[in-house]
Amino acid sequence: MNAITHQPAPPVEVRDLTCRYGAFTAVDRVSFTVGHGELFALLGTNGAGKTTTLETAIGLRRPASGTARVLGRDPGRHRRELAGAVAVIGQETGFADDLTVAETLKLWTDLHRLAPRAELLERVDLAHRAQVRVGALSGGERRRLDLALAAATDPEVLFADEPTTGLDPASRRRTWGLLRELTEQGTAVVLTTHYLDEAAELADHVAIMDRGRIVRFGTVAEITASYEARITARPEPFDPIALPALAGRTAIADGRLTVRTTELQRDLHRLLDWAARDGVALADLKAEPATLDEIFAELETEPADRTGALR
Amino acid sequence: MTALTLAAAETRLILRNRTVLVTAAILPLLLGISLANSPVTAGAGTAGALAATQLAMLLMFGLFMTITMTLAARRQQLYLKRLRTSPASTASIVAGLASPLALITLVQTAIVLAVTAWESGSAPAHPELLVLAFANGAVTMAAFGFLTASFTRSPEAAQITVIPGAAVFMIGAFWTLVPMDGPGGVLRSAIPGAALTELTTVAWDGTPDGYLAAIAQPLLLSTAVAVAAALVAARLFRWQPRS
Repeated sequence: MNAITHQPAPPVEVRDLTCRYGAFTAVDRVSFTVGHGELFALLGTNGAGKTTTLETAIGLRRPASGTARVLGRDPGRHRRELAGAVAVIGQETGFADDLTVAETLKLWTDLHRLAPRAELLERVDLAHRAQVRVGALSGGERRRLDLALAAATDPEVLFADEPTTGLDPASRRRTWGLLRELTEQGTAVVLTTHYLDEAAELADHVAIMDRGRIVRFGTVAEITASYEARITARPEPFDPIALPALAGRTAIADGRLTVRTTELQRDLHRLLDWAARDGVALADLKAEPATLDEIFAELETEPADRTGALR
Repeated sequence: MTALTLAAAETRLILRNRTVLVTAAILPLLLGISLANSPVTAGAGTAGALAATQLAMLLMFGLFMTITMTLAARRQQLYLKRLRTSPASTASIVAGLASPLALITLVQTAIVLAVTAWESGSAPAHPELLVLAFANGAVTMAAFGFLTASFTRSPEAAQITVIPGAAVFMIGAFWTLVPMDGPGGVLRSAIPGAALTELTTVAWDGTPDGYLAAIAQPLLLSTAVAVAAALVAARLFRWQPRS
């Protein structure tokens, strides 16, 4: 790992960060910390403020107020010192189109004064494209090259801004694998994404941003647990009047029963008891917590003043 | 070290991009050689005046215009933004981006001035001053290139944004061929490009007054102008496109 002097501070610490473009507040008092080996996902729709938060944490933008510290240092003032220990995957890759893939990787390792790491091209399935100019790569191939450059420096901290956007499913999984390997090595990862499954798959903690503010924070399980879970089934035979008393709200449409409940285990138990007692078959039975998709959809319908920063 | 790494990459990029190659390497060379037989410069009289005009044109096309265009392109590609996330210092990045173009211009200058010396049957009276004139002009043109790139959104826009700077350099370079004494002459030396002509003329033709006395004023004024341009460019220069 490409270490700089270790500080007692967490790898990433953002406190009350506010960023403005003129009169528009893009990021509003955002706070979070990320520890070693932790993957922290910033989720949100386009324009939620994720990229501005990330670029300020990297030191590419100055905050209007609040602080961002990376490895205990101000990234705006200690850019060069941090550059050896911090890797960045941007939304756009920023390659020189007329350099080849191999030359781009070599330029990057040379700038970091590292030994060549051509094997990384194998890892991101670009070895066969090593002599191709970057300008001729597909969008997905450019993203994979970006990932190789990030991994080449064995960073202590990785900021990844929507790293899997535009990738095919196989490339996405390969990217996830590399991100997991980095966190297993102790790298702190800040990931922005609007893929909810990606956050659920990778993140230790998730913050959902909406209109510049963090409106939900926690593990995926914690966040989903605070929303209604869902039980669906197709009872056969079905007499709605015979349904047991449930804590949740029930809805019936086209012979399908849907129960939305904050007491998933208890309501499921009652339904199963009822089905066993009355000889009802519960076809296509599913019981699942709220998905991040549903939470997102719900947040989008909430007015701005009802979504408060949680952390 | 990182400056050399970046310069090597930049050289590859220049050699692989036909537009930049023509603008940086071929066009200035053709222009410099064609000036040797131009009626405009024939009227200037001395071989030193011709060499000064050629050097000004080479630096203007090869450095000022090409740096502006190249930086705008690199910024548009977000290549500059990426370099800012590397451990390379600002000075290394600037040197790495500018030095290949400066080297190309140096080679062109050597070729063009050799042709001039051969055609005129003369040689520079003070070759070391010629080197100083080139260095002074290169720093000035590079500083103005970075400054102009500060407000140039794209390489296409560079074709427009370089016009004011190019006009100033040409006024400075050509006006200085006409003798002028007094406060007017001092002010004229401060015009970017003027000192380059004055220094080169003295370097080639020599001066009856001793060249230290002849070069002190243009050297000081042009250095001050170049430093001022570099400071303003450092303040205004954007490493990534406006969002």
